[in-house]
Amino acid sequence: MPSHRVPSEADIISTVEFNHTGELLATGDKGGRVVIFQREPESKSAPRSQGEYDVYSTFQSHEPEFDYLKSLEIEEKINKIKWLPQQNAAHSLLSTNDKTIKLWKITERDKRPEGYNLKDEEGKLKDLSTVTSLQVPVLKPMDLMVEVSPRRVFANGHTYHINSISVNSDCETYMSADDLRINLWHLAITDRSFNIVDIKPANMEDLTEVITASEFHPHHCNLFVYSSSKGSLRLCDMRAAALCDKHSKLFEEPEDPSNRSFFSEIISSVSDVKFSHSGRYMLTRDYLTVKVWDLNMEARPIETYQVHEYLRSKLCSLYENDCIFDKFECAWNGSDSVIMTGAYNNFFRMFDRNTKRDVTLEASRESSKPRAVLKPRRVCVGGKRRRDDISVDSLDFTKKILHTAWHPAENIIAIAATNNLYIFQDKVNSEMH
Amino acid sequence: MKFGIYKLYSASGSEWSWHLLPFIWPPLTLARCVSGAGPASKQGQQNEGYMLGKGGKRKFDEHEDGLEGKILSPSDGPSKVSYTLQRQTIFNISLMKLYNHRPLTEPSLQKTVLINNMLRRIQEELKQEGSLRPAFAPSSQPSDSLSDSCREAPPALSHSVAPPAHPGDLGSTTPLEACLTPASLLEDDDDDTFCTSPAVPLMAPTRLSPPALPSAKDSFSSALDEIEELCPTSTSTEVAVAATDGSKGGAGLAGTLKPEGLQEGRPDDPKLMDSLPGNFEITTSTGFLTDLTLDDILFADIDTSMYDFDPCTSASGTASKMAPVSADDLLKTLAPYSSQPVAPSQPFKMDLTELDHIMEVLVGS
Repeated sequence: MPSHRVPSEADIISTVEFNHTGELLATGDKGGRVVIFQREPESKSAPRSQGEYDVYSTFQSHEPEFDYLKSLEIEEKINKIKWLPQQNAAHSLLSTNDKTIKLWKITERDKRPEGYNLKDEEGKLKDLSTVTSLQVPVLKPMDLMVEVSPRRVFANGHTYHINSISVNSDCETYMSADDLRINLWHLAITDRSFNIVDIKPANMEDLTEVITASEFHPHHCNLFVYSSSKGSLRLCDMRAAALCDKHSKLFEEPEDPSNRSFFSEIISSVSDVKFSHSGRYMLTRDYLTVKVWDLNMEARPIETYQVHEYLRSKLCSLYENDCIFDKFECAWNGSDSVIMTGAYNNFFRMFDRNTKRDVTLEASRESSKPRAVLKPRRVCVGGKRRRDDISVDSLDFTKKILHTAWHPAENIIAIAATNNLYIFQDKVNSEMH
Repeated sequence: MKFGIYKLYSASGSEWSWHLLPFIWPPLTLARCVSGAGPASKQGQQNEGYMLGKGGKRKFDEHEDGLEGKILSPSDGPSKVSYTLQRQTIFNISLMKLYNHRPLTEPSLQKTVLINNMLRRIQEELKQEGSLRPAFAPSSQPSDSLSDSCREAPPALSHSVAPPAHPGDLGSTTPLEACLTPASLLEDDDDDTFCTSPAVPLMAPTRLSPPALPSAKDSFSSALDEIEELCPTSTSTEVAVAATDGSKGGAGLAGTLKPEGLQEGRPDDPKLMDSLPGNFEITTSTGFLTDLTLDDILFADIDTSMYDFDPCTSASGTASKMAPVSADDLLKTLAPYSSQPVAPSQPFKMDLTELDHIMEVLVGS
């Protein structure tokens, strides 16, 4: 293999997730690999290297499989990674591809025992005649070794493609959602799961709506939300019934008649839903907007932000080249005051809910030179054009930022741009407000 | 590759200053990094790319922008034409998406559902608009005047009708490019190419044959009526195809073939499904298929063999070939009918042999 490895499709990052403290950042890619980064602790001796992320561990999570019944490949692409809350020295995460969820345990080893009585340093058995005295083995420091092992494999739970996983606040269960069903698993039990939502119609020809994303409420272990391809959100209470087909709350915004087009339904399809850290709000992403919903109000979102409204007149072309089906994710910052989502041309957008200001930034190596500042970008739609503006027609639709993540406590963001990962930090405002 | 710490973007506390942490993943040389983004993304997605600015696509996108720039609703007068065209284009694109690609992995169910919903919506609209038709059926005088005005329009209209009949299971972009023609023709023609009544452009495809030759009404148009009754959602496409197919000698196809033919066609669906491309089987194996699309596939094979086009030809070449073919053939197929004294039994006889022939073609392909 040549040292100059040509980046392949397998390197395309497919998910990004900080752990609960922000110390670790996990990425999954299309080739089924997971790469975990760890933030270096800030040290006075090297002030310039404070807060940098370095590779912590790399492992192959999923392998490609073949479904013999349908004669189809099952992609090894990692769709989602979710960290479990840390309960001991080890870290655990769930990673999933289209069909199988795996629980991985990440442990560190930085000491090893030395001074065995029966084995020598290389592990070979000693000749007993040479053993004259007994010694107690002692732990000696060694180079840090990170070991990753698969602890559970949750297989055969889904007929359709898994799009989301979410760990419950009870830290014992988690759910996995595919296009038509949502299953509840116990983290320790792999041979069965409970089906809690099933929207498969009796006749598949009547199918008009699929599940697109789902998440547990961050505090109430009985509540979860799932979104649909028709733009609706359903909040369900697991205490109400074993099968949560009946929602407790239905969040739907009536269609704006002035914006009606052939593509209204497709662009209303929710690609991601995230509860706020407070648990009071939900954030949804559809093709052109991000919306903030108050759990207490089902009629409409409380805030709507335009991500790239200039694409509204291009919907037919975007339908033709499939871009209209791109699934962008969205993210809250730690204090729920800023929301972030990706767009095309390696742009990503941030919206401050308090000041109502927004910014468009670009994640590219060209624009991120040393000593350079990340300057806001602008897409011009005609009319006055400033010098560094990009026109809508010259946007690169192959460069899409679908996956973004925000550090739970600080203003550090991780942006996945195709096969590159960028980590940005706001040094001025490292405290959230 | 390490980057230094950056200058703050702004001293003001309220502005963010986002800068790149000294971190780039994957760790590569700069040269590789810069070239990295390109090939990977291009490799990954063949269909995507720059939306505008690349020669071949520009015409289409310009055309598309022209179509979709305005808010289109069925009720507007002059923009009704562009609404119909856009609807037709989207219909074609949707069919192509469903049946064109042959993924190694299972296609996304969400995408399939959304495309199917799109097709259904368009079908519903066509059905609703089709229900306006009975008002035009009875008198011959209006039909003559219609036929006159509709004759002027056939090239454009036939396009709008013919393309959906072959949804591109040849795996080409030509059906799409064929859709370009209606718009470009429309841009040349004035709006008065179409009749004053807004309903006519929609009706014309379905009534093109009967009004054009009122004398053929007895066998051919009655057959068309039967077709429309049995398959209301796809009338326009099937009628046109049935009509154009006539030139192959499948005259009886359009006739009472319909009750037999399609009914026979339906039990044969499982057989046909096996012979169709793999991804089609995937969609049918989930049981998720509308009758319309299956029929389109059925007639698609008939239609494309007649046109005999190479998927790789340029847009202009194919499109220009199609324009005269559909209109002329249409008229040619109708001419023999008008002159022949058609006995009721004849269509049946021709119809059985023709059905066998068609079945062979379909199963064989």
